[in-house]
Amino acid sequence: MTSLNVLVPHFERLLALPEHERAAALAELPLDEAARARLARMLAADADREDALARVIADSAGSAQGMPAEQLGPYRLLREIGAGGMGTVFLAERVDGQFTRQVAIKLLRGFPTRDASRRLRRERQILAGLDHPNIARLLDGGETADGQPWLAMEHVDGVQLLRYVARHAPGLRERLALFDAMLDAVAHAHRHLIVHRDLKPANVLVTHDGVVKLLDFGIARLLDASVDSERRETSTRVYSRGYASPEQQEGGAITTASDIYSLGVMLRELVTGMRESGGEALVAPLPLDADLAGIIAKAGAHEPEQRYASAAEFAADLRRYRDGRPVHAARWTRRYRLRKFAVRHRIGIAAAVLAAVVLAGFIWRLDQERNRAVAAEAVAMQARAAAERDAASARASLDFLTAAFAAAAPENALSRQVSVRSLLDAARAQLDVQKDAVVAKTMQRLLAHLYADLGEATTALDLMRTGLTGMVPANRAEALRLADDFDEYSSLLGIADDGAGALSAARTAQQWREQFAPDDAVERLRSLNALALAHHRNGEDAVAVNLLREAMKQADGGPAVALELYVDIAQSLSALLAAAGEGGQALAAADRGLRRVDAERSRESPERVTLLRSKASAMTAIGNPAAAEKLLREAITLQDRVVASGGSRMMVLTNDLGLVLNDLGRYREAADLLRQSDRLMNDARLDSATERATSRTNLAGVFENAGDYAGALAQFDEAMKILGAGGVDADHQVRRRIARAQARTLGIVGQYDRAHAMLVDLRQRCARIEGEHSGEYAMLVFQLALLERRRHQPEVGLPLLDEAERRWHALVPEAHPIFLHARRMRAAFALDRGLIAAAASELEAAVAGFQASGALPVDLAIARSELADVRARQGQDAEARKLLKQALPDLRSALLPGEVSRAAAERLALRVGAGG
Amino acid sequence: MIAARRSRLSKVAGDEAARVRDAHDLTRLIQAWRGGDGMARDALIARVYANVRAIAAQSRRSMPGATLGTTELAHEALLRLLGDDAPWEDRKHFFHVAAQATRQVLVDAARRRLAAKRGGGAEHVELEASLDVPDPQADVRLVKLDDALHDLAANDARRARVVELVYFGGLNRAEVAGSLALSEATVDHDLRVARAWLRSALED
Repeated sequence: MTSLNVLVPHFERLLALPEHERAAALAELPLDEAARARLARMLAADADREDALARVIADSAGSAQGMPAEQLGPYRLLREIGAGGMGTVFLAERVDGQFTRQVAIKLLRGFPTRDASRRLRRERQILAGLDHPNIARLLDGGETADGQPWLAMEHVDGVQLLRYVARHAPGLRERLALFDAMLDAVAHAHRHLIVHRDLKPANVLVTHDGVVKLLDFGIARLLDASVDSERRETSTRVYSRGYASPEQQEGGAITTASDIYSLGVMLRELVTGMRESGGEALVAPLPLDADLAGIIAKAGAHEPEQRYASAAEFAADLRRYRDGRPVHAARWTRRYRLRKFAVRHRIGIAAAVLAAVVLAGFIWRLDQERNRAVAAEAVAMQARAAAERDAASARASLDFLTAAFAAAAPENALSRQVSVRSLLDAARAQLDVQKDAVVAKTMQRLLAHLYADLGEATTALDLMRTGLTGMVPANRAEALRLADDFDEYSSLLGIADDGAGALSAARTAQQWREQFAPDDAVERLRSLNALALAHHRNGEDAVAVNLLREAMKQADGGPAVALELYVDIAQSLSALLAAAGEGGQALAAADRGLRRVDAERSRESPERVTLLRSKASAMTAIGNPAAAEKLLREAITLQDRVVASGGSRMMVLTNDLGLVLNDLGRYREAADLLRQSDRLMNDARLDSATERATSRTNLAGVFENAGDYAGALAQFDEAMKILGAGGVDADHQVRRRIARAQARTLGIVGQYDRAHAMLVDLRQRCARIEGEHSGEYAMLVFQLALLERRRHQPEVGLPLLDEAERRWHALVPEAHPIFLHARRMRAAFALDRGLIAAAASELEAAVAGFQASGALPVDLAIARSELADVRARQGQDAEARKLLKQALPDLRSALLPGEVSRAAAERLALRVGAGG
Repeated sequence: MIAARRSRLSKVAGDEAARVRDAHDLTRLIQAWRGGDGMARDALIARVYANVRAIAAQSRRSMPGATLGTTELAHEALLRLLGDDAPWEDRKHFFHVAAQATRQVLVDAARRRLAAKRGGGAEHVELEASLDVPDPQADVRLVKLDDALHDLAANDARRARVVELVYFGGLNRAEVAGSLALSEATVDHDLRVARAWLRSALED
């Protein structure tokens, strides 16, 4: 087709001509028929005054609200049976004829966003869990092709409550029996944390058998869920005026108490035929005595907390009434009056603080009973409500929540991911409209802690920074609270790579504790712990370890330290010791922490996660990656079950596991896990340069181990670029470790000079920073020796290897595989010097050692293939073939063909005829 | 700060607060987008998308049978989400997003209806006669227009953008000129050419 670029200049020239000349000019153009036709159509279109494009768009947009499909999901619509505020109701039946039962299908108004759809589905699942003989069940639901939500509900063939009473004129006892069934249904729903929100006679049907059925349970909330969350509070909810509670009519938060109110109104109408006293009777009225009037008044009290606390309590009072015993309603009157007074005089600020307390109380409970993650949705709903309402409502919601937790059963459990996150997000959104600065700051700091607990460091840091701005303590209690906040702030700054900032925040906390609580030993421990972490973040691990050792000593010998603090100290100490290569001590510290947790908490306690991780690091440090793998998998399972499946902690655990699998020689699995960890890092929006660079380096290491050197070097370059951009200088320990790994890979690919220069520079920095007795120094010497092995320089390499071994002996147990690798290196140097027998004996010892220690299959295989090479040189081809046959399968399963050891083994196999 | 009771008035104040919050959020997103953040652009589109749909749903609820013009829809989406005092740079980017989002909303809906048509066709059940019957040809034409606009964008991105801003973004020629840093005469000319091209494509 002729393109626009060709046609437009012609089009413009033709337009410039008088209209009658255009046809002739067009005919003369050097174009093919199709192009000419197109140009003619363009001219005709241009001449048309009507805006055809606008038409096309408007016509299609106009059919946006078409007719509903004849079929929704597996249901065929039969006929419309009603229309109301929430949408249209159809009678329907299953298309597949699987069940003959007819259903009522509600087509809800409006089109929800994707978020709202998700909420809607979640709500639907909760509602589908309601199973009670007096509640019409929610059976199914879905969306039309247009995205309009629909619900399939049990179709109840019956008459509306008041019509039933008008028709049958039952006596008081029968009417109360009907009402009792309603109360039972409502109590059941409330136990499942579901509030009806729109109870009215029209939603109560009585079947021909006289069975009461409540319709539309929770649908009102579902409708709200279908609206975008941003506009939820202003959604155009339609309530049935006469039955809706005052708080509902005023746009306040709706709780179980709102349903109690509606029930009270309905009870009055059921008995007297009138919704309110003095109205017109719709059904045959019965006389109302003082007790029953008292019950109705209590249920329909204006203030939610004056009503019956539950449907069950309501029912119990009615039972007392029917049995002729004194009812509770009357006795409570005076007390309520007093409480009402108190509520009215509560000042605004107290209300907001109370809301914060409710929130904190929640999290505490979540921590304690996380495996009953349950009331999560109610938590989110209520915390949000609590944050926006006055004191009375906050109290009411606290009551409600306490009850909710007590009543919550595991079968109602929602995923905790929804729960804690949505709770926090809702509360945070609420912050934006909080106008009182002091209250807002308090909430910000509180939320910052909670987000930090979830591993959402970036969000937490922002909240904490704002929440702490300008805060100065006035007394001891305030100072200690703020010091805790500053500790958290310090840790968050550390995570964001601001080591100096972290140190300064930790010092502020320490200073306030010393100023306001100089004698408090526990507070001193907190300061030590926070300072240690800040030093660690600042790259000074040795200082950190000393501080933590001191803290641990004080904690074990001194005051009763809270579990959380003890765990913190133990795990930090363990982790730092493990990183410093002090595996044994690291293990001891982790075990101390675990013993204390297991003594006080269940096996499901989230505190175990960090300690399990520390213990795993210790196991890795002492050369037992298999144990580390087991511990990490346990930690990951626990974290996923009781905390969250994402976030920075999961990222760290996944990363650790990837590294351990790398140590175990399972490189493909390792690479997968590290990629997953990288994804989690992005999801958690961690933008720390050191963390991101470390993640790259880990991936590089795995690539290297699998023999993909180009891939590894690319990852190293990326890591260094990240560090450079992040302003991380050459002395930073993370940067040095990455450089060391990079030098190793450069050595493998033959860039000896560059690798050597890097290692020498690192060794000198290490001597200055950690000292010559550190594990890092020993590792650098070992790497230098390895480089000489690759260069075939035994004269330079052997002294280095001697030095490395000597240093390692002082640091790790005799059985550490590093010494077996040292033997392999000695063998290589021996071969360089033509000492074949010496090489053979070193490799024999290495093979035996790897076999005896149950080492990695790949390590054993490499040692065997190296021994095979020596045997071949000794002319023992049969022996070489035998060794290669043992080695090759493991080499091939773990390593890519390009990996140096595998490549050498394959070449040898060809030579001695051991391929296959 | 904490109102004793939520009255109608405080509800309006709540709306206002939500609007201010939205605008703030949007400004941040727009800045992120200008800084090259593709996710921010998607988030913006999602927001506008949701807003346009919400407006459409509401208008239908309050005025049965009435259909707001797409232009007005987009305009309302814009005005609700971005205050009048936002810097022109932000507004400019926002217009572009809104136009894209509106186009996306409408074309998606048309495609869905067409897909449902193809997939369905089972037994027909009598329903209330008053329900609107959608015109499938209109949807076919819109999808065709969308395709043609994609082709146009591949050859002549500026003219495609002008069309998008006018027809889906609801901008007038002065606003389009400001938004694309063109003279109004250029906008007029671009529109004339692009209209003729697109119309001739529709008749293919």
